[in-house]
Amino acid sequence: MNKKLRLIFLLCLLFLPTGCLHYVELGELEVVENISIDYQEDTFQIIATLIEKKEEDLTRKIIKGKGSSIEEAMEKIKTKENKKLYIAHLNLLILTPNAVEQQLESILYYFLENSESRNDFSVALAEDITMMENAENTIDLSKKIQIVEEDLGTSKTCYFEDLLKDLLEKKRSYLPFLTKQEEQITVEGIYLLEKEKLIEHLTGEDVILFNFLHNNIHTTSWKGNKVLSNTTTIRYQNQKIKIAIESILTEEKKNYADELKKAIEEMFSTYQAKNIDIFDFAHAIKIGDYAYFKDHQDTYLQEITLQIEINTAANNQGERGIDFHE
Amino acid sequence: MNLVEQLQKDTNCASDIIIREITIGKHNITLVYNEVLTSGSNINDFILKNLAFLIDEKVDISSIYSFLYNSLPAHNIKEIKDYNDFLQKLFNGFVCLIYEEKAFCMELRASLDSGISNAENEIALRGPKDAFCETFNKNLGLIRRRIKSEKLWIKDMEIGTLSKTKVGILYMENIADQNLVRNVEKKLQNIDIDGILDSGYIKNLIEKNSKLFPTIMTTERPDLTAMALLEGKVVILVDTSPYALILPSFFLDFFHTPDDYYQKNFNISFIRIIRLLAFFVSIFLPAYYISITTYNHDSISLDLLLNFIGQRQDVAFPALVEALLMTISFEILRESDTRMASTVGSAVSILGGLILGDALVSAGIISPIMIIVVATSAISGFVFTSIEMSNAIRFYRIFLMILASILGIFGIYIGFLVLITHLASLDTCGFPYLSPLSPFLPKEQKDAILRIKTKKKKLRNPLLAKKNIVRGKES
Repeated sequence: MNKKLRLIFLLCLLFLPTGCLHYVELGELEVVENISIDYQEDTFQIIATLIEKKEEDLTRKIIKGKGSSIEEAMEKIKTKENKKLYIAHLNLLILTPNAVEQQLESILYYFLENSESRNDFSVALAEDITMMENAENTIDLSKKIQIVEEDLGTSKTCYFEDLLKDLLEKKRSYLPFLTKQEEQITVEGIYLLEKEKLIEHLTGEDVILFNFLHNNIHTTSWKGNKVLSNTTTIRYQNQKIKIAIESILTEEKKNYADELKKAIEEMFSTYQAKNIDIFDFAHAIKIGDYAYFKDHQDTYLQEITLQIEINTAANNQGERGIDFHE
Repeated sequence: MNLVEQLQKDTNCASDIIIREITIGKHNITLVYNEVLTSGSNINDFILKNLAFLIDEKVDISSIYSFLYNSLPAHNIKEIKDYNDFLQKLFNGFVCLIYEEKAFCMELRASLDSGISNAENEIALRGPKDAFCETFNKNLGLIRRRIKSEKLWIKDMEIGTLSKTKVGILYMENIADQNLVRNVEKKLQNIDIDGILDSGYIKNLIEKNSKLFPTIMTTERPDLTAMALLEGKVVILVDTSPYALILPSFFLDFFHTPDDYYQKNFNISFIRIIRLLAFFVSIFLPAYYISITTYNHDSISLDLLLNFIGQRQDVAFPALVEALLMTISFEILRESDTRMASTVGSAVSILGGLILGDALVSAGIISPIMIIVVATSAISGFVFTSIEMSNAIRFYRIFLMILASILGIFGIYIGFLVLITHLASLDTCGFPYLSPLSPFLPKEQKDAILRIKTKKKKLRNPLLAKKNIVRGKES
């Protein structure tokens, strides 16, 4: 056998064992849209929403699995046709508070280790994953979270990669919270996750204030005021946190500024008492006076005094003629 | 030397060889010609009528041989040196007159070619429509009509121990590299074969077998041939072949057509990008489809994936088998369509393309998406008029399909590397095949992939036109 033939033969031998291992025909796949994970009594319970297209319509079906580990639970999820669950196009991962508090590491590890997982899906929290058993409820859930974030400002999208990054950098993460109301899944507030522990649940109104202070507001409705957009600047000056808010409303109301100011102060004092820097003032203090922050890392939150300045403008005639009034 | 007796013996008294004895006074003249290669009416008009006049008038001529040699009206009269010369002239459409020990011949060829007609394979949208025919002189004439210069030099030779086919090397003496001309001439002289029936014989004999991609261009268009000559290339014309060979031919030459130079640059640049895209689509599309349906499902969007799953649900075969089935079916259809008479050809296309395709989908043998993939790939391959280029594309298409079925996208990547390595390792008459892309020639880029108009003097390819690089410069 000449050298060329030997080389070709060797290449073929190399290719065959390395490549064919991951060979899966399209017909053997079940595309997973959402995965919900609960952890109760040392057992993982998984509910997966599968999606398929029959003729012109998208149909969804629910399958469940249980196991002592997440791998075992996933393994036990078998369809009637014994197809392979395919999670590369996963849209949403829903976790229960129990699962987060007790098994977050193993859940993250499962998705990180899985070569199919693209890690670009959203992550949300839900008290009870049995609400996912109705396939109708699971339609476009990740899109619903985005819409609530953009149109109401009462939630915040969290992507798997961002969650990982926050955990690695030991930062706080914000997970949207799903609840069931009148047989429908709704998005209600966010959960704060810090050091792999859920520390607080913010209601819809709290999230609006939170989003005001983090410049996340697109449009929202707060205490009867329709807010079109909002810009907030937070600075640390003369041992005070100065918050300047400029809101564009559809209709100007005199008590808007006062109510907003009061609500921020109340929320801040509530969380100050719990020693949670809910608005992340540490960042502003670090920039304004790093020496002070360095010396008062544990006590700065209790020493903060707020100076809030709110300007509003009405824009009921489009983008033109916006005048700010204090 | 008795030429007639020897001829009768060697040809076993072939029926198409006419031997006619004519007596003029006391002189016996023998007329020998090949009935099929010569024109009967020309023999009547230019030889027999004149000889009849001599018989009727009973002209007394002391030296009949020199009288006939000087008085017979023929544009090409040559004396025959020996028996081999006699045979060569006889089988080249000459009429031989033998008197005693002497003989001469006159060219009175019959027109046996298909005539100058429109190009059939290399269609011109704009520009000259004429194409080469089977006659060497006519083909030469079509080139001479375009290049009226004494610098267009021709080197004639005969190749084929039995066919003795006339082969001509054409080049511009003031432009072409003499080493290239010598190289080509040497290659032709080294050919040892009994017969050359078409320029394709020569192409196969002088081109290395290992070269999958064509390094010699075959063309039926005289304008493209003239363009190549003006660029400093060498052209080989073969008698009995309506195709000229152009060498060297670079990879990008197969993406260019003569029409490119008759239209606006902007449009041509766009078309050339489309051709390059078609090249890659034709090679990579089926392989990519196989990889995304078997390994790399995550590389397409969810909507598209669900569509693909829906379409492949009823298909019984794996993606590779399905792709190979479809490709082979298409190749059979194409081959039968090419060989079939044109009246039946359209029926085959309809039966194969529409009825059979629809039935295959209904029977669950092939998915509709696979028909789209293979058809797109095949149509993209038709962008190239060169059969060799189409064959190379077909080879790589199947090679990549197999690699993709084993390794997915990674296999396509390996195939791409093999393709690039193969192209980069090729040479055409000693010049790098990927020129002017590799080695990168900056000045040549304005007529490589894009065609850019500049106010600067137009230059020839510096690799080829070593003597005279500036176009329009008097040499």
